[in-house]
This record gives sequence, structure tokens and C-alpha cells, in this order.
Amino acid sequence: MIHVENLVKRFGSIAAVDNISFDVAPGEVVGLLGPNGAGKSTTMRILTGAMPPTEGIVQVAGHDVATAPLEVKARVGYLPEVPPLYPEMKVRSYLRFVAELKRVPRKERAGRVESALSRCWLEERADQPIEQLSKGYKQRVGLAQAILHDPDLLILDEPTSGLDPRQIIEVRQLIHELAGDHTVVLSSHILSEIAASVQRIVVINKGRVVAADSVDRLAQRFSGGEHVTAQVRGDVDALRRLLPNVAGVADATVVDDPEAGVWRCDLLATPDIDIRAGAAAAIVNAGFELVGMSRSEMGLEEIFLRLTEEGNHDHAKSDDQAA
Amino acid sequence: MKAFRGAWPICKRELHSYFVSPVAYALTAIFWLAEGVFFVSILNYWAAQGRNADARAQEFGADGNVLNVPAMVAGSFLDVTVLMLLFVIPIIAMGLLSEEKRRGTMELLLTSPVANGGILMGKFLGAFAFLLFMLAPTYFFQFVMSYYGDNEPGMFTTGYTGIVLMAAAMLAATLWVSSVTKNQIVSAFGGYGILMIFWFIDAPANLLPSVWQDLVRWMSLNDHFGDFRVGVLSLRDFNFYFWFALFFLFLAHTVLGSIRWRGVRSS
Repeated sequence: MIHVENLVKRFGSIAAVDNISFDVAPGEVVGLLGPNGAGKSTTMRILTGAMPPTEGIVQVAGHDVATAPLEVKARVGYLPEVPPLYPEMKVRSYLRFVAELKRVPRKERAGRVESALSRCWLEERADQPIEQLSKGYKQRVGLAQAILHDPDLLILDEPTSGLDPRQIIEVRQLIHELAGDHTVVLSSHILSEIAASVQRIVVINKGRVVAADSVDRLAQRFSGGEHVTAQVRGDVDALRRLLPNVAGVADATVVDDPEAGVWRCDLLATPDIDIRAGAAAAIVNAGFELVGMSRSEMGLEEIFLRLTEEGNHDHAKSDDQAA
Repeated sequence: MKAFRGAWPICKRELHSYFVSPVAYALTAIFWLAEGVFFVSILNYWAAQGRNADARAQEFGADGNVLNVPAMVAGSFLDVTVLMLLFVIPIIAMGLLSEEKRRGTMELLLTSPVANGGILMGKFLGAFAFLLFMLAPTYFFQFVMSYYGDNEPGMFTTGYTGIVLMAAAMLAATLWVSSVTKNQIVSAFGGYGILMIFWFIDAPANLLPSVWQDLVRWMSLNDHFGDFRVGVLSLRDFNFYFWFALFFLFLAHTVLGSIRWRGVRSS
């Protein structure tokens, strides 16, 4: 669906996007992740056909954005960071306007508008002026606008920024539903956000791709193994002696501060080994009370920080190739 | 018509936005009220002048009707209307593109299959249509004179042709100003600025060398209205307003092209 090869976008002497390459298969949901100013929005805007690249090849559904922008625009639905709404218009007439703008054939317009309204749960607000809507509803109108002409590819720039937690869940759910019929590229600088919505992450920093992989694999690659957290009751010194000797445990720390006599232990497994059963057995057999155990992915925040801090030079090369 | 793709929906939306805007309503109300007051006072003034002139003429034994009152009214009223437009047009045009940029809706236009020419034509024609809506009733004020006596409808018609052309030229210039800023207020004052420049550009003409005199006179918005004002349709003046408008639409087109290339700047 998307093919990006050696994309460069310069504004004057500043390279906002510096030699990015990645591909997105049809039906995939991909997240662009990176700190503010990393070049996410610029990359997305180029993907919409609105802004020509300085160098490199960008193809959407087989059409080059530089030479066939109209073909690209017809196939792309775009929700910018700020939803592009006319506050004085009513939701339905706004969507009619967008349908006309996107050159939806006259006969299909009414049907498309109604279906976008229902898919984005907007029917009840359809005849309200947009300026009277809450931020969450405005975001839905923005999404309705993006899916109106039934595009193959949806590009959503920070779709949940500035929403309250309930609205975030709603919008996330909406994206999840839309993902079935569309290829989706969304961006965020919030990691949990990306992890909740996408299958694959492309991490961008300072205009370069620093990593591109599935969420799980990224976690594995950078942690070296899984994290397991156990809650244990018992003698802390004995516990500290026991844990490092459990088979498969590469590193173990017991958090100093017990809660009602329960010690939290963070275990790091050696790569590709599931230590949960073994660790549980060892703890119980040594006479401790095992209160709880859970597997935790390596904190996405951690991956993200590692990628964007240290990865600028060393990782960039290897990951460009991996991508 | 690929170069103007998207003009029609944008034009409709723009026109509609005026009719739901309190600012546009207030502006229209002020405009109509002021025009009405001006027309009545102008009519009163010239009617009195006409009666005085007739009385004086009779003292010297001549016939009445020495002063063409309808022509005087037409001239004065056209002048006033043009000045009102100078005041009104920057306000009508101030949000045309700057608001699209500020609200982020420019993104929508740029990511839709719409040509730059379509955006500009849609904006221009939408605002122009609203301007015509404001102007139209004032054209009919003259028929008050027909009702009570003589009128010069031809002078009004020619005058209004000139006014409409000049309005188009002014609108194009202010549309361009609106394309270079995100701020409506800046856009409005910039609009006043550019209209003032082309209004007064011939003011220092007499101080300049003769080559420059012709040039600054040619560039004056005001100067080209002279013929229309006295009931003469001239191709030269028509051409001036036409090219003036086209020149600024072209400038705005370049600005849009550069926005496409580098995005809407956040500052």
C-alpha cells in the first residue's frame, strides 16, 4: 500500500525528514512513533500527496505522490493533528461539503455522508453546529471526514492527543473498527497509545527511522528478554539469595519497600525462555508464599528512550537495513 | 477546467459562511444604513443646490433646470459608495485564507483533489457574490429620484459597472494579503494598507518626472474610476481592473504553491 524509499524533505537547509524508507502492506495498522519534531507529521503530509518530497520515492497504492498527487489524494483519508473543521457549519453539511471536495459522485454523496455519520457514532449530533461539540466529538467528525470517500489508506496524525481518557478509548475503538477495511498509519508521541492500536511500529527520530518492527519484537530485541514480576511473602534476605539462582533468570531485583509484607521482585529472563513456571516452583519449594506473578513487556517508554537517545547513530544504520 | 477544480464547493461554502456570520450581518447592516443616510443627505443637498441655481438663473432671466441634479447625485453617491467599499472589502476578505490557515482547514483543502486555482476562485467568487449581495440594494436607491422627478439611470448603471470592477480588483488584492498571514486582524490592516497604497499612489504625481507621472496615474485604483463616474464605459479602465485583479490572484496562487511545498508555518 505504501512504499517509501530514501525519502528526504528539506525546509531550507533543515532536513525535517532525512532519508527514510519503509513499507506498509495493505490492511496493516502501522504506528509512526517519535518525539515531537521528529518528522512524523511531515512524513504523513507527504504520504497524503499534499506536499511533494525533496528527494526519494513515495508511492501510495502504486501511485507516486510527486507525479500523481490527485490519484493519491483520491485514495487517502487524512486526519491532521488539528481536525480541519469549520466551526460554524453543522456536522452533516460539513460532511456534504467534504464529500463534494473529495469528488464523491453526486448520487453517492448522501449515502456516504450518512454511513460516515453512523460509523463515527455521530447521528445524534448531525444537525448541531460543530463549534458546540466537545473535543471528543470534534475528533470523531475529523475521522468521519477522513473516511468519507472510502479511502484505501487512512492517515491519522496524533488522533487521540488532547482527549480525555474516555474519549481516547472511544477513538481508539473507532480506529480499531476502521482498521478492518482500511490500511491505517497513525502517529503519536505517546507510546502506550501506539501499542494499543497498531501491529507494527516505525520509530522516527530526528528525521530518521531508528527502528521498525512489531511491538513485541521491539521489546524483546531491546530488553534481551521478558520481564516477570512476582509478589512474594517471606524472608527478604533468603529471597534475594534464591532468585538469581533460578534457572533462566538473568537478573533479579527485589524492590525494597514491601506492601503489607509482600515483596515485589523484578526478574529479567534470558532471551527466549519463559521462566514463569520455573520461578514459581522454585519460590514455592523454598518455602515462600507466592502471592502473584505477571509478565510485563519491557516498558515501551524504556524502548523509546533507548531508541531515541542512544540510537541516533549506531542503531540508525542497522535498523534502516532491517526496515 | 482542471486548473479550477474544487472552486464550486469552496465558493458555496464561503458564501454560506457569510450568511451565518454575525460579523457579516453587522457589516451589511452598517453598510446599508450608512449608504441610505448618505443617499438621503446627498439628495437633499443637491436638490437644494438645484433650487438655488434655478432661482438665481431666473433672477437673470434664464430658464430653470440649469443644474443636472440627478447627475450630481449620481456622482456624489458613487464616490461615497466607493469609499464605503474601501472600508468594507478588507473586512470581507480578511478571513478568506488566513482563517483557513489558522483553523487548520487549509490541510483539508490541500489534501483534497482540489487545484490551487480552485481554492482561489472559490474563495474569490464566494466573497465577490457576498459583496454583490451587499451592493445590489444600493443600486436601486436611485429610483427614489425617478419617483419624484428626473433620474439618470444610465449614469448609475455605468457607475455601478465601474464599482463592481473596482471591487473585484480590491478583493483580489486583499485576498492576496489574506494568503500571507494566519491572523485575521493583520490581514484586515494589511488589506487597508494595500488599498490605500493603490488609492493614493497618484497623489504625488505632480512632483514626479513625467514618465513616472503616467505610471503612478495608471496604477491608481481611483484614477480609473473617473470615466465610469461620469457615465463613460472605457475598455482601458476595464482592462486595468481586470489585470489588477489577475495580478494579485496570481500572487496569491504563488503563495498557495509555496504553502503546498513547505506546509502552513506554525508561526
